[in-house]
Amino acid sequence: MAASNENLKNMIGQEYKDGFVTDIESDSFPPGLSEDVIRAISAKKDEPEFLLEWRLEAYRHWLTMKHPEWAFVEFPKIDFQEISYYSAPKSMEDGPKSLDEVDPELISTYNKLGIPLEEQMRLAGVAVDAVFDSVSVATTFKDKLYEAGVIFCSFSEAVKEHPELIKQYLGTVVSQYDNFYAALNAAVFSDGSFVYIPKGVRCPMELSTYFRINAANTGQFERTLIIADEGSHVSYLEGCTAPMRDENQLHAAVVELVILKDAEIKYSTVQNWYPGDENGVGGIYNFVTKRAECREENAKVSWTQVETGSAITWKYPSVVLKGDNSIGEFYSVALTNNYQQADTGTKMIHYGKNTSSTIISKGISAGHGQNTYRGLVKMGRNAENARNYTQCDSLLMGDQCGAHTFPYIETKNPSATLEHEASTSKISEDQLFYCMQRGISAEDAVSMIVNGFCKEVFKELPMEFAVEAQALLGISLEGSVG
Amino acid sequence: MLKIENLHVSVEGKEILNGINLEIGAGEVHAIMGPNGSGKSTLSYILAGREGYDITEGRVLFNGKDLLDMSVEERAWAGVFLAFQYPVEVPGVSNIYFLKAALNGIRKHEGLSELDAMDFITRVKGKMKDLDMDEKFLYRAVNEGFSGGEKKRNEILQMSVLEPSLCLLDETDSGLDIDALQIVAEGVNRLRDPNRSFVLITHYQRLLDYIKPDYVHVLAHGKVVKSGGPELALELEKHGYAWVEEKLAS
Amino acid sequence: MSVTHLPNAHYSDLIASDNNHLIGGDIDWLNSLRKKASEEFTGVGFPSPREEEWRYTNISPIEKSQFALSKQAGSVNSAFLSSVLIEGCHHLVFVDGFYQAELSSIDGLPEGVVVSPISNSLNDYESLVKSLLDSVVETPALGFINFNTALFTDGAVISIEENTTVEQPIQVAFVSSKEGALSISNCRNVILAKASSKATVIETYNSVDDSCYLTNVITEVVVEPNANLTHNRLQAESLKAYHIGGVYSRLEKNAIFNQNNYTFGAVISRAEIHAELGEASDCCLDGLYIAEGHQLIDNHTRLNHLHPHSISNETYKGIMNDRSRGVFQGRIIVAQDAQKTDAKMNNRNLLLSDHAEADTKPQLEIYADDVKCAHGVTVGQLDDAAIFYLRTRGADEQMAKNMLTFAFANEMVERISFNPLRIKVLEQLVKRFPQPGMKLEWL
Repeated sequence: MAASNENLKNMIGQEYKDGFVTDIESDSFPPGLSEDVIRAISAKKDEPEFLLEWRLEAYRHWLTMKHPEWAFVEFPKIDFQEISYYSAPKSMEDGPKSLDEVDPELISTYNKLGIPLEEQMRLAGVAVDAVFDSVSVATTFKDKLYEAGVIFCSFSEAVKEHPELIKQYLGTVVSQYDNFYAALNAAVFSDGSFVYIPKGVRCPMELSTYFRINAANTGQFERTLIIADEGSHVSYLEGCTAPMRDENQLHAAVVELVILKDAEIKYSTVQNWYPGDENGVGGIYNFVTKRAECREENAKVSWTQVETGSAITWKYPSVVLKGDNSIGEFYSVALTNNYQQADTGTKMIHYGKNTSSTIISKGISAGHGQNTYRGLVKMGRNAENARNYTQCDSLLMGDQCGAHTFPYIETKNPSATLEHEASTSKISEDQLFYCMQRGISAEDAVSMIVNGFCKEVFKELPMEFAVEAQALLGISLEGSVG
Repeated sequence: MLKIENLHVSVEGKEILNGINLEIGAGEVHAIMGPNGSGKSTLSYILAGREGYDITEGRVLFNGKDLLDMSVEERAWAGVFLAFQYPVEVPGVSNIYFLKAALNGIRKHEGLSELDAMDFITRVKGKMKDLDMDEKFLYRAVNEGFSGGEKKRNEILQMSVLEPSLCLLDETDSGLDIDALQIVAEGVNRLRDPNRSFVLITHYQRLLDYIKPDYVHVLAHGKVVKSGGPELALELEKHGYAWVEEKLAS
Repeated sequence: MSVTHLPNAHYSDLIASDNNHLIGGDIDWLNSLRKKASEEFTGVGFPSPREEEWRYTNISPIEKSQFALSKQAGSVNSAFLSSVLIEGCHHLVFVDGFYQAELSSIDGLPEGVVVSPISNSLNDYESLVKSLLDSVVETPALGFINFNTALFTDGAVISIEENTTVEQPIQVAFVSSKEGALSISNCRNVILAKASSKATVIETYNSVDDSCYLTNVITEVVVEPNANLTHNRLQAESLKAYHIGGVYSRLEKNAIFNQNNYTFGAVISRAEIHAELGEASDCCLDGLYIAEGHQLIDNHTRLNHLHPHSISNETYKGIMNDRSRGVFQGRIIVAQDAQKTDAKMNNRNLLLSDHAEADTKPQLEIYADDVKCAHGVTVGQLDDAAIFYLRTRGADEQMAKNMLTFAFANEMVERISFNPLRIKVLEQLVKRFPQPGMKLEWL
């Protein structure tokens, strides 16, 4: 059945649609990392002393850390002195007060990406924070949200306007020493989004952050902090793209979610960083630490991710289930094509009683892609009646790719129950033949089968994102079938 | 409509069909009968375009065009429909979406516009009623978790929605109880039309009690060894396939 | 990445000392093999828990214990020996790492079949030993493998002649005597099942008392085309002892290999069960481990599918009571050429106490596209409804729990076709989960 394999191979040639470069004058730091660079970033942001100290502590600790080697990915050693740690459009220097003052070139960039920043053009249900390289360009619907008591702004602005919240929550989920890239991020992060949902408030619209890397030789280090106070609810979306370049670029973000009693955060990501070309040249190194803490009882968090981009993805959105009865969920689709490598999964750490978690992971490997699920489910000594259900499925397309599953399961409580299932299969010839016999082209058939494979994850995405995610997979499966 | 000339097919060097000749006119119903391993299913796969077979000799003309030259989906677009002996499960893909994609694929190639969702649903629901199928099947994944009988009915539903001109039914009667068999047969009979031909591939005569064939062919050792009218099927039922072999030998 | 800590000076010294008690001192190839292993051990030492393969098993108690080398066999009384030996088998007996001819019985073997201690084989079967020794081992337990290669005192050589079936299983019994306390015994076994042969081997590990010692043993297995080998391992060491063991096997085309691993003993027990699967070979790994007290039982299995059409089927069940820990790693690797691989793995764990722990790492590493692979893991406790049901029928709570736990484990025991071995394993179960009034012959 070699011919069908050939079909599959042709079908998965991918064209990256958001690979353009915005021609804009930037203010960038020269490459290099030192305490002076960190002081300079902090000064740019006009930060309070405590934050600078916090950064420096992280940096000093980072210097003592070794680069982690355990992930199932291969790439040349990164020279951290060759990266520029800050780049912002010149026009953002003076801090434009409203959208009217923002460089039209930036606005048109986001328009081109399908993220119009003018509020009247947006779907009324979604507020956006647009991050361009190291700075936030604009945040929409800020005022309307403020009326509801919701704080949604760039991280820099939050540091200025709500330092007490930053001081109280920053680093309490992912400490500045947590791991190599989290420490690096803590030292040099330049912007990101901040959300605070007060007690009892159901956020009136979806919040979203759109990350764009534009400048060359720059790393993007953003930090997101979301706090859902008692009884509150928010749905947050995150998207990202970057230009096509032959050099690899580093994106090392940290996301911290704090969920208090009876509150809920739904966090969705469609990750479409530039994946490199069909020979594996270029692309983003996406090394991200995302963690949520269900700090009090009945807290709930749900991570949903669709990962189609990046040369290398290395992220494990995790949940620490401290509060009794708290719930953690992880739904993931990861596609690796060409020479992409993804090592992704989650950690569900159960400490509270009656806590429960669900993990649904779907990995698709094509071309020379290597796709790894790595996950930890831990049932602590006191996690009475805790429950976990894990399902990881892999779909293989082509004979040069790999699919790997590395779950870790640690149980210290006899009343905890845990179930883990994993399977690996390929799109069967029978399925393809059946669809094609009904007049569905090979390309559509593959796309249909892949979407069916991912269905359990897509149905967790907010409507608007679900469409985008399906389209993204569609693009990835586009190609030439005779 | 369909003309098979001296068709030879082998798999990994082993000949499975050795010189099939068959002509099927528009509106005709042909039954192909034969013992297990006689090559019946292979013939249906060859006509539908499945890979993995070497066609060593012969040709197949469909409305004057070389069928063997067309890809699987091109044959489907041209009106060839195979009702599978073992319909395949496609997890996560809903029946309704699958049907719509299939129908629109065919319409596109006939130069027709896509059917509007409401029209489509109305059309499908009507056909389901005829086949005594519950509407909830539309929203379940294609064949996933269906019983054998449900899968067969689903095949006939697809056939009636897609309205092909050549219907190949591969052992459609297997796995059906008598009631289900009648419903399926009625579904097929409703589709009989002067412009539509049927090839019924079956081991037993019982399907032919409900769908009256115009011609019956007996396939053995990869060859049509005997052709005749509906009475041939009855004789086969009475005497068994061994009888054919004996007749051949004598 | 391999992170190792500093080699332990005590054990490096043991290796460096004048070990004239070892066999084969006059054989060049063996000397150089031992020398190479010694050098590697001196550089690297035993594995540290910072290594991924050892993250759940910290062997520092072994390092701290500063065991001596066992240099001769102690005494074992016949009553004890008869409790260890399994009826209906050929027997090779090793005490404290040394072969005991007078306790062994290997008569009536078919023509061409070799069952012999290495110490007696270096003359007659030198080339056989040479071809097998160090030919199948892999690296994850490298420190212990090197230590074994450098210092093994004896072990079994088994070679099954082509087209030959050995009807009676061959039991290789390793016994630790009173005199063996506070020492290490290093044994090395090599097994060759030649083309189209069939045999069953049973390795057993027992101790006359509850003393503390270390067993460091390796078995290398080659199963040639169309051969069918069943290898059983019954580890019932003293609960104060340490046991580090490995079965490393290579399956050639169409070979069948069943490895059954029953672990009950030792305060820390680690077993590596590895198989390399050739084309269309069929490998079945079964495991049962029951831990109590402060025991840590760690089984690491690895199935390396290298060629097309091979099948593997793995089921490991663990029961952890008291403050014990059960560790399982099941790794399935499917190489790029190994199309049509069909691999299934299952690990089921039962936690019986609030302080017991189960750590499990099922892993799939797949580089071929036309494969069927699946693994499943569960960790849980006994079903309350079932306990309740049994109690309504008059069983007290402990009895009900014992019955259910027994049933959970017995599923693995029922698969043992050689009845005397099945009874031996059942005895271990009955000892741990007594059911008054139950008779072994009912099972």
